[in-house]
Amino acid sequence: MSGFSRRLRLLILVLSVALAVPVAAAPGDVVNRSAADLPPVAPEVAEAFIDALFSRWNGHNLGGLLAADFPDRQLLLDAFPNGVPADARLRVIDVSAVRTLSQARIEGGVESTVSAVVRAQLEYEDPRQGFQRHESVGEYTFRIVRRAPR
Amino acid sequence: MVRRFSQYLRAIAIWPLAGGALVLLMAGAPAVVAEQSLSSEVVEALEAGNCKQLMRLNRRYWRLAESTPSEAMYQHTALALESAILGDPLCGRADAELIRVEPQQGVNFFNPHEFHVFRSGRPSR
Repeated sequence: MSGFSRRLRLLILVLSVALAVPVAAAPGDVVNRSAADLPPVAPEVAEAFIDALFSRWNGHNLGGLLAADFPDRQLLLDAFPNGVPADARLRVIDVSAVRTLSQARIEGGVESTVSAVVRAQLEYEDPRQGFQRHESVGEYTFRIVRRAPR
Repeated sequence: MVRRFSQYLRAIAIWPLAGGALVLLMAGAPAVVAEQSLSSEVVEALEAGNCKQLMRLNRRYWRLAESTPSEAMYQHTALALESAILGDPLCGRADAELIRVEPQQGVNFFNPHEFHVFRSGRPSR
């Protein structure tokens, strides 16, 4: 067998293996997921956060759920409990228009900024004027960090 | 003379091609090796997309990766599991904090300047 024939056979072998590699590696997309491939925040996750937020509002214990740069953060925390009736209950009526505004990969997770339109209702008993109800609609913007616990 | 020239030409034509193929092979090989090295349990969990199972395996492989850093396979597996978890919007542990509220209608219950409604007792209807 000539040297050329051997080289040709070697070339065919190398090429066939090289061409097979990308096909075999296709399932590897789970290994390398960029930020662009990440799914948007699920509406259920946003709704769960709003529920937790309102529950903490009702418990006068908002601290851990307010960002450090939340406007008038300390003033709001100080307003509880004296500035709010003890029996005041904030309820979610509807959460809509959940939008993922931005997403970025961070060490071990993904950080997302999300907005949602929340229709809420506050109810309490006023000693002089009886049952009170206030409705509100607002756009809530929050940061969600989702991690795969290690 | 003609024959020798022909042999040179073949050598010049073939070896760059073979070299290129080898480069392709080297670039793709780690992914193949890594994919093939995932345990069947991990492969099944990735295929099933079962969040609980993925989280359990993720914890296990991160512990293994930390205890035996020389085994790159453990870290590779942990990264694959982590990527699968983050690829499922309802999987993983989420922590959130409120950045701001922009009122559209009615009272903003997250603005302490509007808490005067409680003092006035002004009903909304």
